[in-house]
Amino acid sequence: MKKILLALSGASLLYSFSNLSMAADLDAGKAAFEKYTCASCHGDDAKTSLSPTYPILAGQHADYLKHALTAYRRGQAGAPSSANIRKNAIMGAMATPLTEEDIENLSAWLSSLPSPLAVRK
Amino acid sequence: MKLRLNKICSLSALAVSFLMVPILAHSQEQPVGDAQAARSKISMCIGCHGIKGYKASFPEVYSVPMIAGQHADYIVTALNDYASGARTFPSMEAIAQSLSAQDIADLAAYYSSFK
Repeated sequence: MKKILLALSGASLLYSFSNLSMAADLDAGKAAFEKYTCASCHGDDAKTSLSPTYPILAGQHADYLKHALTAYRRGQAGAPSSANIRKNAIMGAMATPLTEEDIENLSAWLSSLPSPLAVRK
Repeated sequence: MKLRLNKICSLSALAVSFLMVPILAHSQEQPVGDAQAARSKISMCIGCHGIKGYKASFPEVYSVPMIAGQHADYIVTALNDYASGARTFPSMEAIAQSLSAQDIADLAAYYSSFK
């Protein structure tokens, strides 16, 4: 019994550590949003974009934003457009300097913002 | 004289048609969206975008983006890009290619109306 408990607590400790290493840093996400001048097109609140052809990012699913930024970065590397490669002159250039960590933090912070977006209304 | 008049007529008709081209092209690009009309057109959208927790599964797993509340012009841009192949995703390309400019405008009006 003691052994099982020990194993369980060890496993839960490991699990929490693995979560910690994956946890995105919201403040760092906000800082990256400012550093990479995302607001100049998407707006300070990430929903009042300069042109309505630019999407609202605030409140969007974090994993979608991460996918999109990664796909733009791949597109800039020269590969043709595909389901996980997006070609866009502006966003390709914007996404290129981002690190994995930047993308993780940006996506998490953006998805935490107040937003009009919803799956169903 | 008759010939000349004809010439003037055809020339002016030509001029008018040239003037009309940008106006027509513009009106074809940007029909006015009708959110009510979109109600019979959203069946293709809701099967993915209207289901909580729905994920695209290939080649990457991620939640499909929320489109309710998004800007109308962005939705138009996205659908046109899918239709032209500038942006690619198998299901979205097939759907976007099946939509008319009016369908796209209606869907954009519908989804952007949720604010």
